[in-house]
Amino acid sequence: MILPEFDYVSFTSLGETLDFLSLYGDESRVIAGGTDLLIKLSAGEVKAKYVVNLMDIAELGRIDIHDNCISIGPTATHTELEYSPSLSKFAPVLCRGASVIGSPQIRNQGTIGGNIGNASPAADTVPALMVLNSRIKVISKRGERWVPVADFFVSPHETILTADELIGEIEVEKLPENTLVSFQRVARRRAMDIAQMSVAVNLFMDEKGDRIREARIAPGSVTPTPVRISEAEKILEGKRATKEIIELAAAEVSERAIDETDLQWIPEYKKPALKGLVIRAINDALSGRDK
Amino acid sequence: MKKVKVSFVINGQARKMEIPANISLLDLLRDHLGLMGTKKGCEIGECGACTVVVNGKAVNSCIVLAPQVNGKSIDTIEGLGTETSLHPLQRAFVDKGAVQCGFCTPGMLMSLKALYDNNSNATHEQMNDAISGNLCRCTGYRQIIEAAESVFQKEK
Repeated sequence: MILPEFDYVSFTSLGETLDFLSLYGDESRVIAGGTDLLIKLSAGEVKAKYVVNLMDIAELGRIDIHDNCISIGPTATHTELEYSPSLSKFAPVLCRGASVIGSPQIRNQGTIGGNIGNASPAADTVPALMVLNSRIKVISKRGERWVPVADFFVSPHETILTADELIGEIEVEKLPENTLVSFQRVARRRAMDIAQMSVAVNLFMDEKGDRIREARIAPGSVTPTPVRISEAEKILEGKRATKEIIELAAAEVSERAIDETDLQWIPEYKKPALKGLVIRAINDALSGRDK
Repeated sequence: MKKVKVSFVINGQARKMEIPANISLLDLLRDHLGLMGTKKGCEIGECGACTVVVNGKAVNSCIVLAPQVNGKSIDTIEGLGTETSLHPLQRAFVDKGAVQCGFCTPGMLMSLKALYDNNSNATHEQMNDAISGNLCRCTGYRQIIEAAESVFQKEK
C-alpha cells in the first residue's frame, strides 16, 4: 500500500490531543482502527499533514454502565461491543449490529467512533443507535456539546464535526431486560459485505405481554442519513402483533424510507425487500417472548 | 516526514526501531523486518491473506498503520512453528491436504491460531466464523475446516 507522506502524532492524554486539534485540526485526520482511513489516504480521497492517533488514550476506549445509560468510548472496537456484558444485557441490539460488520479481523480493529464518524449510510451500528435513543458527546478544546445521533449526520459521509472536534462518547439508553430486539440485514453474503439494507427493531410489550406498548424501528443503508419511521411505529403501538398489523407497519417503513432517499435510481427490488426485511425483524423480535 | 520511534514484540522478541510514519504493518513486516511469510493480497482488508495476530486478536495487517503497533505484541506465521516442530494447526493442514496454492494459508493459520489460543474448545460455527474474513480462491475451505476440527477436537 502506498500512503502519502504525513507526520504521525500520538498522545496518551485527551487534553493534549484536543490542544493539537485546536491548532492543526484543519490539516489533521484522526485515526482509530484505521480500517477506512488507510484505504482513503491511499486512494487520495482524503489528505492529511498530520495523522493523529486516538488508540492510546485510555479513557476513549471504555464502556461504562450508569444508572440509566451506558456510555461507550469511541475507540471501543466492534468485537468489544459484541462481547460487552453490559451491552448484551441492556442494549443487545447494538451487539447484534456490531457483530455483522466485515470480518473478525475488521471487528477486532474497527471502532464504533470510526463507524459513526465515517458517516456511511450503510454503517451497521447506526440503526442500532437510533433505536437506543443514543446521544453523541462532541468534544473540543472549546468545550463539549451533546447531540442526538440522528442530528450528527449531515449527508452521506458528512457529519457536524468541525476540524477541532472529536466524538468523545456515545451514550445509549439502558433498556429493560425483557425488551424484544432484532437486527436484520440484506447483503450478498454474510461475511465481508456491506449492507444493501438493514433494520433495527426494539419492541416494548405491555405488562401482559400481548400488546406492543412502544415500537422503535430504524432502517439502515436506505436513507442518506439515519431515520426512525415513527408512522410505522404508531401502527404497531397499542396493538396485538397480528400478521396484518405487522405487514401494514412493514409496508409503511418501506414506503417512507424509500421516499426519504429522494433518488431516482432506487432498484425495483428495494421496496418489497425492505418490507420483507422489516416483517422478518418484527417476527424475530417477537420470537424473543417465548424465551 | 518525521520517522516514528516504535517498540514492540514480534514473535516473542522485543524490537525497537525507527520507521516511516506512512507504512502499513504489512509493509513493516515484509520490507523492514524481512518477514515474507505474511502475504500481500488485496491491500484493502478484504481477503485476509495478510492476517497476523496483534495482542491476541487477528487483524488485517495491510490496513493497520505501522506506528500504531507501538507497545503491542505481534505474532506472524514465522512464529507459529518451525520446520522441525510444526504447530498442531500446521501439522493438521499438511495431514488433511488443506494447502493448495498456499497463498491464503498463513492468513488462515493465523486466524485459527487466534481462535485456538482464545478457545481451544471452539465449535464448528466458531471455526467457520474465524476464517470468514479469509478468502481461499482454490476453495479448499472444507479441508481447512477439517484440519481445524481435528486439532480443536483433540483438546476436548
